[in-house]
Amino acid sequence: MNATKNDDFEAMLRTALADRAEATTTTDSDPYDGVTGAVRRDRRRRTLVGSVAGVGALVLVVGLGGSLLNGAPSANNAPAGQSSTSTSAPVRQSESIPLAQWPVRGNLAGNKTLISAVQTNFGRVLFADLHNGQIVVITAMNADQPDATTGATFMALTAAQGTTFPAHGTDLGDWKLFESKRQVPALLSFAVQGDARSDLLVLAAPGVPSVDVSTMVVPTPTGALERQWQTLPLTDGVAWSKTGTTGGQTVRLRAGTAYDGPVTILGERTRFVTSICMGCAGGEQDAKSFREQVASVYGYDLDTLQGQVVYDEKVPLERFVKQSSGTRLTVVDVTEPGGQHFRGYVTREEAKEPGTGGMSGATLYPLSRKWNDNTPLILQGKGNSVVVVAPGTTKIRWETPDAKGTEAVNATGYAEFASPATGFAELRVLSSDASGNTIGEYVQSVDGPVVADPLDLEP
Amino acid sequence: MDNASEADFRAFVDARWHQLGRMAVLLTGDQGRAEDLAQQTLVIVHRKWRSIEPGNAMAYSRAVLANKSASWWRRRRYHEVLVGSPVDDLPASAQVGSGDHSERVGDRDEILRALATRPPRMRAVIVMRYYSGLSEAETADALGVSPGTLKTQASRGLDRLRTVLTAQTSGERIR
Repeated sequence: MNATKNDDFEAMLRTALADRAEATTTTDSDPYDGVTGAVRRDRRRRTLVGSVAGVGALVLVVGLGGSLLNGAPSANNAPAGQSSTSTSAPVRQSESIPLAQWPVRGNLAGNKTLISAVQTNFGRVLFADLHNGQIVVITAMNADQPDATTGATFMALTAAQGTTFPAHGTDLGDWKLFESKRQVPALLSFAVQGDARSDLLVLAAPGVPSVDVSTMVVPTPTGALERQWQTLPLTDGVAWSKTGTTGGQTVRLRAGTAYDGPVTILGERTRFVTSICMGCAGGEQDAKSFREQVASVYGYDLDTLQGQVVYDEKVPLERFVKQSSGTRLTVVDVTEPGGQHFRGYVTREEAKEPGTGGMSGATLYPLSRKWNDNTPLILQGKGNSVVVVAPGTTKIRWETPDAKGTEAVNATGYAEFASPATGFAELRVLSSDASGNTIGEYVQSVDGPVVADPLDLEP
Repeated sequence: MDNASEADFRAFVDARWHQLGRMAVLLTGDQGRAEDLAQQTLVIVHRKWRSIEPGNAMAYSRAVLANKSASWWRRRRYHEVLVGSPVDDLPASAQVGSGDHSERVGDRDEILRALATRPPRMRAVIVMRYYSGLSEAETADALGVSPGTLKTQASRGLDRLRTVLTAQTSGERIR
């Protein structure tokens, strides 16, 4: 298409967008009122750490039972080249060379054509090499002048060996691009698809002799999250290792006091995980997805995990989509060989037209022992209410420092009450059967800190 | 937030609500969702109001709107159905005509239909570049992506839209 046709087309596009926008008549007569109401709701919701459907931060829950380590990921999780193992990391001083001044490392560092082509649009190249038949290039954008709020952009570009990088970078073709925006760290890492487990690239300043790596997190029967740390030697500030699982989500790295945190750039997982979908509500797809998620994140052999849908009902949860006909809550229980339970849920808002709607939340990670398979599930209800899902029980008792109450559990397996003034922050809920025996207990104050960092990625 | 800041925020909402709403309609293809999205955006802007530099509030709001739109779609990417294609709501005056005018209106309809089928990031790039009039650098910055990624998205998006028009001219419809 020549320049004139391009101009015509872009003019037509501008007109089409402007016409459509002008045809819009926003209905809110006093938008400020609407916004301030939403601000108030947002403040309330933000106090409900981790338990709110709709924020996308969800929970897969680990329960009580036998040792989690029975049948758990006993595969060698140590990084390649480890020289020591400990449960706490030794303090190691990182060199003070700032990331923006790191040299280009890797065996393709001298490939001027590649480096130049990448740098045209993707920032300064920090690393370029071949790894298992793949070209791996790591770049940093604005690392010398990071934005005070959003930091700098770090990218990983991968392609099969022999793939040419496009000269102008406008169409990446067969290259894959993974991005991460964050404050400039003292070390960079990239988890990339490997064989059984993912491969892990670690980059530090050239003089740094080693870093400490914990490749996975293990939820213990006591409710604590445990990590083992190994020392990973670096050569010229570079090392390849393995993750403990099929992705890099659980990896935490330390470089003395200079860095302690997660993997910088996550690539594709080594093992495919079926995504939770809108159109498979209540079906086996949810059980399959959660099983695969547990296997992938915690390193289990998929065949050793059992998964089943244990609750699938419409519940009066807070809605996020206008004109929805209600929210369906599906809870999945995944049991590992030692008898531990990982519980996950997904909430779907159903539109009036059958088969349409949207997902408003889903859980991903197991939490503490307090979240066993009998623990009531606490969710934000409509109209600032609390919904307690406790199937198989007849009554729930709740209390906060300032209030308490008792509610009957209905035939659908949930109870509902007006949200207390303190929100979920200090809420305790006990469920009981018809004889008054306590079946499950929920204590946010215990679970809260774990919910906030479920994979123990931050110090 | 103190009273003076709250008053400033109110003035900003009153002045920019419709503008954000229009952009949200282009991003979501649905009026109801657009208003939800605009409102959620302003909640975040309110949260950050004291740290936003004077004069930068609209740029910040546009960035939040575009990114929230993309993440909203990410959460709902499976079996998601656009409740209303943008062109379904076009005014009657834009849907009738004759000769060149009707052809061009038809082309614009096709463009909007094709836009509605693009991935959310790509849609945001097109809307910010060709509706909001932002430069490539401004759009990349707003979306938190590299200029290279931005160029790729914009190039692919425009190519797709052109393909739709070309196919329409030759009698083929692409979905």
